Amino acid sequence: MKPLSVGNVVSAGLRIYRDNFKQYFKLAFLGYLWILVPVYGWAKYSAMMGMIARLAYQEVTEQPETTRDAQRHVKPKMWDFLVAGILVGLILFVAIIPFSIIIGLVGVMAGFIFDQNSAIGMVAGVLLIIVALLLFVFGLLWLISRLFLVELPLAVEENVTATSTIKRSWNLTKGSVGRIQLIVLIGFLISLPILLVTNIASLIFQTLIGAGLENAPSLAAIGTILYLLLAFAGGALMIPFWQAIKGVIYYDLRLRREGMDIDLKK
Amino acid sequence: MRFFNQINLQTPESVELEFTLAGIGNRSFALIIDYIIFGLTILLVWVLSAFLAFQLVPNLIDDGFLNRLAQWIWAVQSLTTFAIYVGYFVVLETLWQGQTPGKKWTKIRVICDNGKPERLPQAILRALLRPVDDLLFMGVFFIIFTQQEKRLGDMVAGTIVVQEETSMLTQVEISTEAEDLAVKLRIEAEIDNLLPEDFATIRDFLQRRKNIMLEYQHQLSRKLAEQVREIILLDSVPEGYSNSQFLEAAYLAYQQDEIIN
Repeated sequence: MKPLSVGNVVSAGLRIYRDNFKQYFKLAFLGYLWILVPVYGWAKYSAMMGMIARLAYQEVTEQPETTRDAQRHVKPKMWDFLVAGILVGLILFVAIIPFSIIIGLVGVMAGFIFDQNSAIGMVAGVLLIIVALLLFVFGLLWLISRLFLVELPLAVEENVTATSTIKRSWNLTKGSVGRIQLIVLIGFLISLPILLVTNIASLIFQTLIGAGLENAPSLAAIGTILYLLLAFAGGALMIPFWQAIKGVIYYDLRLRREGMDIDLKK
Repeated sequence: MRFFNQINLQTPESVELEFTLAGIGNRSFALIIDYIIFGLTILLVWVLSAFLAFQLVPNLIDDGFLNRLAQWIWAVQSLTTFAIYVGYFVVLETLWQGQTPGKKWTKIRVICDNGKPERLPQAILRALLRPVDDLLFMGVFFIIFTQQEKRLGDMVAGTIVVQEETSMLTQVEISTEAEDLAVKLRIEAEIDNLLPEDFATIRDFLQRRKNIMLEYQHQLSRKLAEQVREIILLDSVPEGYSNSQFLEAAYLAYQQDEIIN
């Protein structure tokens, strides 16, 4: 198969999400519940998210896996997923500090220009702030795009560690930041209608639970649990969609950056 | 690929045509582009007419009424906006046979259910139902959940949206050394043994190698060179040439062979 167009990445991701919805949703929901358990649960959560992405990747490569098979690969690396996640968080944090300082400086400068009370100064100050903010946003988006695939090499490839998986994501996404941004934008737009429907459904459920509680106040505990489950289910709904998209992007970038499909003996 | 819906059409001459449907991703992307162009055009019209109004009419209000000239400018602006609003998709899809700038960019095209190009009536029907499809994202659901990916406008107009076959027109860069080697290969090796698929794979590599990471480029060219060498019955990759030069030469030699035969 040839590298995919931006639109086709989204279509394929959505298709995989749709076709395997039950399996992925179950994993995402259980993974979400694990967040409640400190440290061990967080590692478990990260590993399960990686597993969904792996399952989606295996679908695009036409080597579908069962949950159990995927688990065998992913489970031993559970702690690597957590460490990789923490490292990514640290990288973003460290990157944001200088950005924030620059923004702060620009703000001070703009304030200084404002002080002179001239129209030109005002416009220049406002423009300066806008430019600085745009740079900040684009810089952050760029960084996030470069780290977008961190889970994938860890979940799919052998002999990858928490640090080398970050390097892999960095290398694979080089020169593809715009492509990734477009994919995320289109994916987001497509997920809007789904979010709309599920939000309405969730609202109805909430009202039902609320009405039930009014009739039987003694069941408050059960009501609260139901609320929580509903919130988790809602959160777990879109995760597999994005993990599937990541799986397809990873596949597509391996074709583009590694020429994975190029072979004379097919 | 099984992730994209295919559709088979039979022409009256009973020629089977296979199309890959456009898919929700491409269609959303095309729509984003079209709406941006569409929005910018309307914005331009408004800015221009506001500019004209302020330049030509110093007193916008005469005796409690809007100035006559300003009224004219306003009328023309409203008409232009309306024309763009109604006409953008209809005119472009009709003139460009089922394409708009967004569809061109994403390489998709609207065609009739029977495979014929989209014409004015279909374009009008699709445009008429566009607001309905946009309402509450109804079109998205229809495209995602129906086998032929038809939004309401497509159902009424009897159209489908398909992907265009992309022809890879990227030039392959060939070094001068490879050109010399190609001449040699045509004499010394069995270039005829290469199948069209093999040639396509070599071309694929040569076209895409710029984007491939360096270490993988080396691995791939070594692997492919070895495979080609076996196929064209050469004892070893000619000395003094790199693997990728050898592949370029094989590419060139095969091409020249084709032209002669």
